[in-house]
Amino acid sequence: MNSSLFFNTALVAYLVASVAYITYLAFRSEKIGVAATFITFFGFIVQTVALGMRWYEKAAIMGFGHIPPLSNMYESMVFWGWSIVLIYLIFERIYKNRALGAIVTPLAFITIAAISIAPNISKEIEPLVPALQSNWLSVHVITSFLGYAAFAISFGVSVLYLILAADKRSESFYIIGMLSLVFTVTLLAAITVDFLVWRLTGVPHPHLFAASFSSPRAAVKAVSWVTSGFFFALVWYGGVQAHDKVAALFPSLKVLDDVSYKTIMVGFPLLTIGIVTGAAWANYAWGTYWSWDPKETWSLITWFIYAAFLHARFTAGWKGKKTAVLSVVGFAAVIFTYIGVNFLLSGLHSYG
Amino acid sequence: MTEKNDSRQAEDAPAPEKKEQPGKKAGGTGFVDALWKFFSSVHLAVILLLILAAISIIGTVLAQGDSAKDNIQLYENMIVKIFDTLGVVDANDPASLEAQHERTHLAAERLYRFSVRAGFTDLYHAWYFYALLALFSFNLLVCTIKRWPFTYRMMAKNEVALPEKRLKSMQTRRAITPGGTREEAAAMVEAGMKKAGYSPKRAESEGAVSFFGQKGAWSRLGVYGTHASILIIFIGGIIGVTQGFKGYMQITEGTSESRFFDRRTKTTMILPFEIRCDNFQVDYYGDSRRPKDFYSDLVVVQDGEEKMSKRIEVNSPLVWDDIWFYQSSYGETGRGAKVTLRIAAAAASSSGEGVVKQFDTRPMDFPDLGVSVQVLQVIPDFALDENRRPYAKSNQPNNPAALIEVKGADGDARRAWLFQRYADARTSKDLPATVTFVDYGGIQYTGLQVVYDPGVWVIWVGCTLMVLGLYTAFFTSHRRIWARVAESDGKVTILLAGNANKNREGFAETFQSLGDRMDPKTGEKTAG
Repeated sequence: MNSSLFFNTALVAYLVASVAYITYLAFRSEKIGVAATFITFFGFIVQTVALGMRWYEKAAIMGFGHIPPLSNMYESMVFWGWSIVLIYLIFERIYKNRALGAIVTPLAFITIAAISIAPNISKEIEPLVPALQSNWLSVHVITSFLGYAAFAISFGVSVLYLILAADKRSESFYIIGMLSLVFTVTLLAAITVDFLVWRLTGVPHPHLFAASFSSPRAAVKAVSWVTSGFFFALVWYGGVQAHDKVAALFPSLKVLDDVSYKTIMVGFPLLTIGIVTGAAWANYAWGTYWSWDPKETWSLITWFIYAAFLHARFTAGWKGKKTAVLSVVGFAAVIFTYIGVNFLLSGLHSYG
Repeated sequence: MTEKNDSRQAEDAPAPEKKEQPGKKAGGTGFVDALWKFFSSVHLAVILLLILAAISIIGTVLAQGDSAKDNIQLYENMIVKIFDTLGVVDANDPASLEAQHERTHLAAERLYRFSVRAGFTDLYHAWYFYALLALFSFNLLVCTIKRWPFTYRMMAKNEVALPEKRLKSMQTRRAITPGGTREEAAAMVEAGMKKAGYSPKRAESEGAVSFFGQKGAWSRLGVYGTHASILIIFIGGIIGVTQGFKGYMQITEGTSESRFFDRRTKTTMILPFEIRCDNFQVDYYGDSRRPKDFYSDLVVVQDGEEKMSKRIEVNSPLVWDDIWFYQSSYGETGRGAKVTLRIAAAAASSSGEGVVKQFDTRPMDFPDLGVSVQVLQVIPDFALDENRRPYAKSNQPNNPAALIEVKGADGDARRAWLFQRYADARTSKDLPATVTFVDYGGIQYTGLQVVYDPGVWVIWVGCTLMVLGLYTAFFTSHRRIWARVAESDGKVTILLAGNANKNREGFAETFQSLGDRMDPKTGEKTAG
């Protein structure tokens, strides 16, 4: 038995939970809601076991006393998904409100599913280069990803806020929120399709979106684009009309605004600790606590944006739509720090 | 995580900045006023943070500090990509690329010259980046100073006897009719607040007894800690840049070195001591060529004396005289060869182990094992000629072999050829110790990063303060409770009121149970 069986089980649990949460939202059946929470919790436990097993498997190869499994793209992304679920479950308990699960569990699913099917991403346990064998690294990665997870939740809630708070289509806030929503949902759907086709046929994909947008078959490609175009139009025209009905499904705008900044209040100190421990690690390994390498710089850019968010919210008195946009921008920076830098820019963190 | 952080509540927040207090600067000129107003604005802080973010992005896209050639190449690649997208060239067609080469190259060169002039190739050290940071620090300082009187008032200047009207305007309040005399009620309030940890102050006015107590006032200092930490980190950085140095030194195994190349001044500098490298070693994962670990055995030699020795590796530097030596690189010197032998006791009864690393042919003693080992000859590619004499077929380490001589306690010397590849093929089995040929390699050098940064501890102080400050600012709260015990028409009333700047739900619960203890209606329930 190895950890991948548990990872896949957890992944399926998150997918089922996503569906359950959305169903709960549509029918407001308390039973389905409880089931959704239960399935998410189950998935979380299973994934925790899987993480522990992978740690053990890794230790068996590289010696005990080594760092947790967080040293490449695959491992960190899986941990990110885990963190999102953890922070969401805590917030669900505090707010006693399940509606946001319909947004958050798909986000957790997307992160793990995307990395599981992505080609050229090694899922193997790899030996670590000497620089990575440090306890600072463990703290650095864990705090960074818990922070990223909190930001992910804030992002999801902020997008929802932008759409629900808009009165008319021409409002720029509505356009930003809607584009973020369509983009994220399309991405989610495409990855889900990839994932399902892969699980059903057992044939690994040559690249992302092979079962949709970049399928070798023209028909599949066309259907994908038409569907997403249709979805775009639906949200664009229906978004404002269906406004009140959709709004009734979710907690009040005040609660959304609340969750949006509270998750950032949790994420910001975690990101700060992540940056500080990263600097401590660099200083111990290379003798430079800060070298303006692209990953470092991007984490600082992210920090600047969320610092601006906090000051805008608490001191300058911004609220609602304006801060929601900052949260979306901040999360875009998070994604770029985490993924964009690795693929588009070069630097010390190019290993993942 | 139930904190409620909303310092915007009317009585609890600094005046919004649009309503600028004119008081202090009334005598100043309009210009000074305007300047003060400009720098004390939080909007400026938000805008500066976003500008810093935007400018930093440029530096992550363009290569920093690389050679002109690399950068021009980078620009050219970008231009070709853009031209390709525009349809001007076809990146997949060499002929098309060739045709446009002059144009793209010229454009790349121009772009490069422009970025050098604009400081983009060393953005984070450009004058305007520093200026922006200075502006940001100044803004931070002014904002903080401006905010301080308000915070100070909130923490230390709370009036004990607030008028009844003020108490009644607070959101969290409760009126209690305890029965008994005014003094009894006052004593009960004082005891109750004390028990809840609010150590109340007492005042009497207008025939009423007033109490005020607070908890967690220091939580308001969190934001100051965080702001101070940013300035401290800047100071630490400045100390490092102006007082420290950062360089690189290379030591060949078996030799000493005191010179290093300083990156900032681009000159060779000399340390007041020498570093000797006794050995450098790379370990690999299994049979792969993926390095698992690499380390150097270093000795600090000062005035001919060995001061300290340490095996350094990545993540484990050597520190001497506040100068840090980091393992950073390694390589082959291309000179000479070294053999690593492991020596163990021959008899199973006696134990012990030793390692010989030989660069020359001095014998090495192993008193524990009672032997001395000397490497007489090393052949990288061992073979026998027609006279059955050993010779090197090539310089490649295809079949490394070493002729060794082992002297036992009895002074008997025995010689044997050892082979790295063929551990069992010893020409002599009766050596007084078991000797294994572990490794053969050229003599290597170890590359060390040499760093002196007197500002680094300032940085860590700043970072710690920042994390503590953030925690205090976000997750602790300042709670204040006022009580007013008054008597009218022979009836004693306690008016209890209070507020918290964060975590209002949590505060409401404390407030509730405090009131319950004083209220005879609920008192019995909570008393036990």
